[in-house]
Amino acid sequence: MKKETPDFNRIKDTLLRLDDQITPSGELSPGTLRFKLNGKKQNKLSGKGKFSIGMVACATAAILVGLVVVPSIQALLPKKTDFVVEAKNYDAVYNAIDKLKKQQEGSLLDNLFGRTKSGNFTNDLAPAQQEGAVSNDKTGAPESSDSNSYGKTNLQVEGVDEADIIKNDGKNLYVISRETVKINEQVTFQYKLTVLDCSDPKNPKKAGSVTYPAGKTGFIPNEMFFSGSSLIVIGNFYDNTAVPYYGTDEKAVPPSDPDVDEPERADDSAVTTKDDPDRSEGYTGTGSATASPGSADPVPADKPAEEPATGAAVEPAIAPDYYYGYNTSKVGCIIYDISDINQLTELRRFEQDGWNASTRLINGRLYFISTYYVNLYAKDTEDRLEAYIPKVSDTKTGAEDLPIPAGNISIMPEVSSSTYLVLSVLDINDSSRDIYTKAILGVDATNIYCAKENLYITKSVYNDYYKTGIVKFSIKDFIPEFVAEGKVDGQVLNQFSMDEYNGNFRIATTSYTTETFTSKDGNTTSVSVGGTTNNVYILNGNMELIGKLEGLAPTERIYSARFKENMAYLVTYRQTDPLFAIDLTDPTAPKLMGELKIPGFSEQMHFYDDTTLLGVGQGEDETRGRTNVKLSLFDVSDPKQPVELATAFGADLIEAAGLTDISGINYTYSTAQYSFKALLLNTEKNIIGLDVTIYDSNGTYNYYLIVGADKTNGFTLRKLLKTEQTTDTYGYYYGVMLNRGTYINDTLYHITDGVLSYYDINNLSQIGKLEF
Amino acid sequence: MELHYDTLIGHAQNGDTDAFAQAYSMVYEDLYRYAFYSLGSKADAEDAVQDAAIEAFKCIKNLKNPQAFRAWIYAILVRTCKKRIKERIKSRELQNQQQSAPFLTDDFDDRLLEADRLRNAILLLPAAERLVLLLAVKGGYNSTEIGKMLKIPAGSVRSRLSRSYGKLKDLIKEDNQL
Repeated sequence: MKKETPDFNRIKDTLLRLDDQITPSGELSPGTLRFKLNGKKQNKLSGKGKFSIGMVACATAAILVGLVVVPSIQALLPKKTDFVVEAKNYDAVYNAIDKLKKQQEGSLLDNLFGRTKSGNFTNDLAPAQQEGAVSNDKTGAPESSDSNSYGKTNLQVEGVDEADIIKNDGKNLYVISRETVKINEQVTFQYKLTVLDCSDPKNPKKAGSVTYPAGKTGFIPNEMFFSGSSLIVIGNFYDNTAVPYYGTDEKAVPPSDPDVDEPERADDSAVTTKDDPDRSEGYTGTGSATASPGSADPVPADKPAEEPATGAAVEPAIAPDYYYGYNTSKVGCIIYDISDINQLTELRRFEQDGWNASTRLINGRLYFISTYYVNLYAKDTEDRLEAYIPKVSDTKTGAEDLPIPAGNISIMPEVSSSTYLVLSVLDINDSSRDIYTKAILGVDATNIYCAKENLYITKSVYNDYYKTGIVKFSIKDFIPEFVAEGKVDGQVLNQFSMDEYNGNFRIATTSYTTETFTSKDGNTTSVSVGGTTNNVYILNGNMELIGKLEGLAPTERIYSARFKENMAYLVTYRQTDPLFAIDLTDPTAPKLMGELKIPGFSEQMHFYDDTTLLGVGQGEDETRGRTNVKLSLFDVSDPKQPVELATAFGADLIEAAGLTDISGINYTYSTAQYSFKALLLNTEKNIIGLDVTIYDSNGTYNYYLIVGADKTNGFTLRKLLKTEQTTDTYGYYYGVMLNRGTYINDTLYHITDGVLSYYDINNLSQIGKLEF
Repeated sequence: MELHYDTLIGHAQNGDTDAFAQAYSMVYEDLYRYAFYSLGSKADAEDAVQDAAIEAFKCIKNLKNPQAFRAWIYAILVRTCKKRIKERIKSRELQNQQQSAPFLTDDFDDRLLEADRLRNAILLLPAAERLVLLLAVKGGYNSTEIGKMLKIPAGSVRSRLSRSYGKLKDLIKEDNQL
């Protein structure tokens, strides 16, 4: 998080206030634009040179998704056998992809109104099936008790572990943090993994650590699991060597792409004034006399951490790619032996093609999911094995970029996108077992929900991206087995929009109101006309629709969802925040029980206790004239009448604490709004812990709040913890990447980049601080 | 919830105007505000955004990373605005524009008057500084990202920004009472 200068903030805030006044007329509306685009021909790709596969914002990857436009012939209730076809050999896969490529190179004008409306999908219900009760995954059920009481990762499903940036096993803390380093005079970030020995909780010590140096190639750790004596660090393996990286030599300008760009310098002369630096090379920009010392780089709140720069000199450009920076090729994990915490020994590395890694750990089995786009415009598609088939690498078997065998590749009957779902299973504790990897062409894995025995993966539906497909796999056995596919109206927010209970699959979606337009030649197409509505669908074990509740909160969309056994709680928002309580006892007839309207919205909902929900979100803060982070407690013991017991703005709690270096808070937000794992909840000790980023008139700050809650008296701020910030040579402030809390027995820990502070969990007095 | 850029852009690259319009819908109001501050008039801003959107649709195959859609279309808009500014300079319109930039509102609300001064001051900045400043304050990009979008060194971005802050600073009230 970067600290903006006061100048930047004032300009930004002033302009922000005018936003409502400065809105475009209907001329620019998406609907109008769409009609203006009719008849506009698209240019072919203008690319030269070698492309490489990559990911992440501002990467230079040349992955293009080619999509086929086919009349939709969709079986609504696909039978298990004729659904997903296993490729007999690579030719079957090549043919499917070549077909996509050919269709994409065809005339584009035909595509505009040439599609037929998607087939015979309806929301009619299948006859209710008698499903035997499968074991219920009670969320929030206590695990078998240890003698230790310590903070565990907030999980959606008990028994299905999720990776996190910090892990706590009751003896040690495992932490991924970020530090700034200087390479070639430029400040960049690098990441490290540290084990903190908390065997004596009140006297933590730094144990082993691994630094992942910034450079042209490397690994960025994102999150991790522990299992037995192994620590599994999930992250991205990146390789920047194939692509020119620009950014270290201030004079160098890469050649522009003539098909898209106009040359920057030549035409700049007309618009620059005589003291503009670009007029004369070699100007090093000392700035004007009135510039504040150490002018900061303004970065607004929500931007993710800046990507580290790599240090090598500029290489001659091979391909004038549009964006430079990290070129991440693969996702994967590094597995360490942590039986000696002072010495992390790397046991194994595993990589698979693709990005957007999702992982789960169940009984020592790691499920690793990524999405892999095939670059249909790769220069060397003559070598189709190289271009079309996803690869895996594993240091244990020595496999290096090994193509997934054809027998492990399946093809969806409706392949509209050159995208694979790549799913690998590793047994962490049984090293004799090889990794199993499966790939499915045609599934783009937009979200996943994992229950103990089944894995559900949502995907888009071409020609109908107003609908969502769900592919179900059984994961009872080591090798996942495809079960069925379902389809519902609307889009899913995140994993919490889905749930499995008693063998049935429940899903909450927001759908767009669409209308059908018919072109002159009689073809129809669906167009979104704005407007949303919200739904809950229940599908049986075969992914057939058996129950639904549609049309909730029209014009609003779902901001959070939480299923628990026979109830579903939905938060929708436009101006007010209805909290809906939906009874799912009869899966064929879900019932809306109660509704509570309050201003603002919750984005994450935690069970404070069995009948109380704790919501973290944003509320309409009238004193400050904008939305701000808000905590709420809802009593849902009577589903017909949910009641808001308490609510508080983070900003109010903080200002009431009366600290002198925070005044006039403008804006606050917390990662706990979008990350379920970021909230620390210990109701026994009356602790709600969350990070807050605060903007006031002087700058930006990262804090950690310890909040107490009482159902009668509401929220109180028990402790406000500051984080340290670092500066670079420009006097530029970086906030922290890591700002989390956890506990072991009677010690509460606050962990940020490089600093562990620890407190007595009862009276919150500080015991000490450890730098690492 | 977001319709995934990856999916939308993929569709758009195949000529799907619906998908492109969806992706556009997520950014067009921001783009409009950027253009408005760059060019000073609503009509010009609308033209610029429309031109940029159409150009974006035409060359969407050049977008290699769908997640970078917003920055990419911003870069196209910046070029479009630059072109218009150049045209105006050639026809000497700009000088007249600066002197009589239209007020945002007819009632002389103090806050808006203040904001209007800021808006006019932004218009008085040299185009190179103005375009970069607005990418920072309206677009929300940092200097490295802006450098990449405009293919200029990040250091030049920072110098332009610090100069423009210096010029605008006097116009902003100290206690930010707007």
